Amino acid sequence: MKVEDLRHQYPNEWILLAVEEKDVLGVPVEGQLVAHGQDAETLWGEIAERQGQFYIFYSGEILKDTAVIFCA
Amino acid sequence: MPKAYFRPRTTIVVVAVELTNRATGRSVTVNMLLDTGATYTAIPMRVAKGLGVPVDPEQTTRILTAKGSFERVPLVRLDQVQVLGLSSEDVEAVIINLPAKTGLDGLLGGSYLRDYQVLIDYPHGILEME
Repeated sequence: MKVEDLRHQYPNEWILLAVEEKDVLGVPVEGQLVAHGQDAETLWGEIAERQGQFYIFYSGEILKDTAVIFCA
Repeated sequence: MPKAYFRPRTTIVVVAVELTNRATGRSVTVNMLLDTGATYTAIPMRVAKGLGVPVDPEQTTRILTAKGSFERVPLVRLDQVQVLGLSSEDVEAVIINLPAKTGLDGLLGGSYLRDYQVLIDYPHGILEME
């Protein structure tokens, strides 16, 4: 499935896919859906059981209503 | 020069970052906030665990938090970090508390960025690196 289609199909969720195709800059554009849901920790648990190339992303707005000041 | 695009005039630049752990044969692309003010690249513990990155409790560094306090946090090494097709090996990263509700899985900071020229064109929403 295409990443853009998944964003629309599962709004405001974390999405994990096994990568099948990337663009010229190496960003995944298509893959096999592995899991989706509200809990990112669960999806990272899925990755820990597997090998291969994965893409995990949040389909909603990033840092909604949040200002950022980080130091690390 | 590889380019990525973001919403013009936004102050939040999010980039797709591929993290690879050769020992586990696992490679994961995540969304990170570009943070030119951060000394280190930073990942939450969920990412370290998922990738299988070893976290040694004896290996720590001190960070200054946004609250103005100092904190000791684990310091790990990432086998490979790739952004816009540009790869760096053995990149230091700190483990931080980054809630999933941010929609982010890390901060892309100086421990990766120091290898590259980075041009951020905020008015046009263009990130270029080489």
